[in-house]
Order: sequence, then C-alpha cells, then structure tokens
Amino acid sequence: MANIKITHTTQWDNFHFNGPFPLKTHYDIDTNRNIRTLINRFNDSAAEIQKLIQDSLDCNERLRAYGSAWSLSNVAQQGDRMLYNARLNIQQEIKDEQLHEMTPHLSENLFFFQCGTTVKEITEYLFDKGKSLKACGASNGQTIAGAISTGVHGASINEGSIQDCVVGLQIIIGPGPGDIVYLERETEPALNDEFAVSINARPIRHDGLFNAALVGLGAFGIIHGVVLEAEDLYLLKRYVKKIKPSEALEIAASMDFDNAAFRILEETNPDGTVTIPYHYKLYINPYKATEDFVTEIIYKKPYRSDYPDPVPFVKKAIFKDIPTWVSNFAAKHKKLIPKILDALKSEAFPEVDETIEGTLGEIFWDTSQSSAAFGCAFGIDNKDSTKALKLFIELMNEKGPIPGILSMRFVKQSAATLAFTKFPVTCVLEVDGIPWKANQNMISLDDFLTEVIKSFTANHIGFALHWGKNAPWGFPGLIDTMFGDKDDEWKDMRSALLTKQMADMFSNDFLNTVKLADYRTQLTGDALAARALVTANG
Amino acid sequence: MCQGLILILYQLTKTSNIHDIVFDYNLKYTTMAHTKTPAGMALMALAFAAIQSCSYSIKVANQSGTAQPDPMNREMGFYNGKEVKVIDTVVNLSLLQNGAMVIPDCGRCGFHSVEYKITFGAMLRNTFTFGKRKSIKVKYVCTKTLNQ
Repeated sequence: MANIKITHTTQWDNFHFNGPFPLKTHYDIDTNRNIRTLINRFNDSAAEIQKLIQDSLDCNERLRAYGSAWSLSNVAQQGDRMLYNARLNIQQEIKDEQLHEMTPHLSENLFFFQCGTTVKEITEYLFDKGKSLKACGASNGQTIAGAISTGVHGASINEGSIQDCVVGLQIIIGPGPGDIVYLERETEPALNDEFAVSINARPIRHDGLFNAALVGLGAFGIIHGVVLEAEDLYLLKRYVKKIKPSEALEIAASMDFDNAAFRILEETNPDGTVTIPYHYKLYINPYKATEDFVTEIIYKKPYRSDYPDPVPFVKKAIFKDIPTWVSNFAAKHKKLIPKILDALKSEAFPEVDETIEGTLGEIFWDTSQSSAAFGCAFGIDNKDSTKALKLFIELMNEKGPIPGILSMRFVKQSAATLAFTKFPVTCVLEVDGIPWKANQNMISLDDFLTEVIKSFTANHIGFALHWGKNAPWGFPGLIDTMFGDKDDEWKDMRSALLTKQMADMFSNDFLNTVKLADYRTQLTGDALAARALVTANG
Repeated sequence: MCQGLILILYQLTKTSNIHDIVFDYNLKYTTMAHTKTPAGMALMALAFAAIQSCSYSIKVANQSGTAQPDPMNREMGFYNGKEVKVIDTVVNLSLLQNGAMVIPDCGRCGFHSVEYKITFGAMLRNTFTFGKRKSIKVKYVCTKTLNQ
C-alpha cells in the first residue's frame, strides 16, 4: 500500500510564492518500495489514488493532483484537497513486445514515467540509456505530469514543447475498477492493449481526446503515467552574442537564418548557408530597447564525451533580501526602475561571448528561487513578433515602468488542443520580474497585463497565454479571444471522458475563472465518438 | 580580529544610545531598546555587518540527482521545496582524539547537498578548548530516492 502523509492545514503556497492559497487537506503520496515489481508498485499507487478519490467523493470535496508547484498562476491550486505526487517517480523502458503493431515508434525510444518524475530525473535516466528528451523548459524541476498539463514549452524551434514528445497517457478518471484509462492517438498508436492491461487501464485511441487531454490543466483526471518518445543523446552548443535589434527581429519574424545579416562564423557552411539553430532567444531591456539584444543561439550537435563541463563549478548567490528591497523600492520610486534593472542586468542576462557545450540537461540545469517572482508569457505568431514587442515596450514605458525584463523564444506548434504554442512558429514573448504592491503611483501587474491584452486585441495580434504563468485570467472573453472554437472542442472532449460528478471533482477556481469548467451533456460528432469509446467496456 | 571589532562597535553603540544589545555565546544578538540617533543606526548596521562577516557557510551540492522534496517547506532560496535536515551539536573529544565525523543516513542515493556553517562562537570554542570541543552546524539534503 502506497504511503500517504496527511496534513490538515489552512493554506498552501506554490514554488514561486504567488500565494498563499487556501487549502483544507494536503496529501503527500509515495510509492510502496517494499513492492518489488515496478509495475505492481505503480499499480498500487494508482489504487491508492483511487481510494483518495472515493474518499473525496464521500466527503463531497474536490481533489487535485500537483507536482513541483512551479506554475505561477493558480492552475494547480484547489481549496479542498491537494495531492502532492512528486515522489511517484517510477521509470521504465518499453520492450519490443509492448509495441502496438501499427506504431511508427521504436521501442528503444519509448519510456514510461510515473507522474511525479521530474524533468531532471528523466534527463538523467535517459542519459544512462544514451537518450535525451527532445526539448525542455529553461530549468528542470517540473514533474512530467505538471509540465505537460500546463504546456511547458522550452524553446526548440523544430521540436515543440514537452507535451509534443508524449505518445501515451495513463489517467485516473474515477474511483471504480474501470476508471483508469490509457489514452493514445488513433493515428499514432504507441503501445499495445496488453501494456494497457498491465497498468490496469482500458486502452482508448482517439486523436481529439488525446490532444485535448495533453494540455489538460489537471481537469481530465489525475495523470498517473506518461509514455514519452526520446531521441539519441545529443549536445547543444550555446553561443551568446549581441545583435542589433533590427537584425534580431528580422530573424524573429522570418526564422530565415540563411539570409540574415547576423551569422556565427563557426556555424556557417562553406557554401554560405548556415546551420539552423535549435534555439533562438532574445533578452531585451525594455527601458533600453535600442541597445543591441543579448541573444542566445543554440545548435544541436552529435554527442561526444570530451567537452568541458558547462555547469559552473562555483555558483554565487545574491542576498535574499535584494529582490524584496527592489520590489519595495520600485513600488515607491518607479522612475528609478530602469536604472535598477540596468544595474542588475548581469544577474538576469547571460554573459555575452560565452560559448558552452553540453547535453540538454546540462544546458538547462537547476535553478533555485531567490525571491518571489512573476512571469507572464504571450504566445504570438512569430510574424507578429516585431509589432507585438514594440507595443509591449511602449506599454511598459507608458503604464510602468514595472520591474521586469523581456525575452522572446521561438517554439514549434503543438498538437495539443489548448497549447498556448498554437502558431506554426510561436514566439513566446515573456516578461519576468519581481512582484510589487500596486499603489496610486504604480499600476498593478494584472492591470498592466490587461492593457497588453487590450493593445494586442486592438492591433489584431492573435495570442494565447501560458497557463502556468501570471495573467489577468478573468479578462472578459479571454478564452475565446485566445482559442476561438478550440476551447469548445476541449470541453467536449473532457465531457466525453469524465462523468459530470468527476468533472466537478477535478475542477478548480482557475478553470471557473477562465470559463473552462462547464460540462457538456449533449455531445455531437467527434466528441460523441470519443464518449462511445470511453463508455465501451467502462 | 572580529572579536575586537565587535567589542569596539559594542562600546560605541553603548555611547550612541543603543541600549542593551545582548550577545549570546554565538554572537547572536537581540536589541532590547530602540535606536535614537542616525549615528547609532549606522553603528548598529556596522556591528551587524561585522558579525555577519565573522560567520559564514558554504554549500556543496551534487551536480547530478534531484533533492528529496518537501512540499510543505517554503523558504526563499536554495532550500525551497527541499527536505532539509539539520545537525547542530557540540562534540567533546578526549586527549587522544583530534577529529569527529557525523554519519547521517541519506540512503543509497547519497547526499544532494551539504552546507557547513562556521560561526565566530564555534571558532572561539575550538580555540579556547584546544580543539577538544567542536561545534558542528550542518544542513543537508538527501537525494530523492529512485524508483527504477
């Protein structure tokens, strides 16, 4: 029987101190390591989670699973009961005999992870097998279930977000014996029914349902197992250069590196063409936007072992009180914010002209939280990136200044229904900084971001917001502005998978705020077909 | 040197209307009255800075491995979300002994990180007991147990 530590409490906070949020009961679950077979240990955890669901139903309370609590929004929070699952970290290879007969995947590239396995654990496990994730975020502390549920994106121009490596999901959708399902795409099956049975799950193959559940915001049930596709181990070579804003933004809007004025000599081929980078990120000081942009450009290379360790041997930390002091000072003397940010830029921007090489896990290594933080990310079409950046900077100067810096990353489109990386090449325009207390002289973060949304809408710039970051989530009609009809598709699929009772169990304030909690009893078309699959043998 | 500097500052603060600063044996202090002058405040800050620089700690962390998590531990900085264990003890040595080793159990996955703190009081204790009483102040985090 899995071990569960119960704490009765009144509040809970996330990793970035964006709360506290109210909470009644906290459950901390760990696998029972006395069970020798990993798959039995895995199934035992699922059974215990089902008991918690039943108990929550009996007590008429909601239950929500969470992992590393890295989301800055309240997407992970739920006021009744929260289940901490980051100790559930079973990791397994997939064998040939577990493959679906129609799968396009190789067994050597598929791996099965329990929900609480962190990105770092996955990276290290895969390294030992000579494999690597295709992409990850800027750090590595998120659990796999949390990362995919909120669309952690990284900055891979050609590979997409973490959820785009997922080919199978085991989800607990209720307390009953038939309430564990194993989802895959019908058009891209991965594992056979015997595998699903081995994890006590009913296999369901449906593209629309799988794509909706992928970035599921914790609303499709408790994701307990994830099948990921990895690739052969590779190295990333990171250059940090200064680029003129006009040249950097020309690349941003076109992704045309071949014809760009800026090029890196080492990455230029004899015929004059250039290697297409794996990652392209611009760091922008909004109060000195005419300065050259510090730009991080990363290229993918074949793996070799003889490279210098890219992780710094000594890491220095700033005084814990500095960010708080900056925040308090900024709230009182906002005109000095640009000068303070300029003084702190060495802490926020990478060192220019530094070149390092390492695996994905080494380049995007650990970070620790030195202060409360805010972060907001707008996913926009890269073709709109110049215009959007100009508007954003204008607002930061007119309505602010606010204590934050900007960056731009570029990510391939995701197949997930509600992925905020929804454009063919999504430019992730981010503002990150230190939260402050609004006053009569200083606009609040929510009000500032509301102005950005209004400005983007007025200027016909399509966008979607990162689910795990700060945003004025209650902005009227936000979900339709961001996703058009896609949110209806997502709600239909959720209603196809869950009973009304369970849909309510897995709802929270965040879903209510963004208008994603409603349940559809009347389904048509693809969603009806999905429900038929769910109810068959259920 | 630290001790001398602190004593001088302590005397100065007494003459600057800062009353009753109580130093314990580890040079932690508590202010018992309010400062009255800017000079007093400045001296207080200097005294604080001097005391701070007399004790320090160093963290050694493994590049690999994930820290054993503690979801209820919310503290700013490195230990946020990590399960932190603390050793704070004094070890007495006999005439024939010259060292001590602490042996906590971190399981087979080992240590994720260790922070060793050296305080002014600990240095004094070691010096004036000719190395026979050693303060040990260590914070450590174990590596998250694998499930493979």
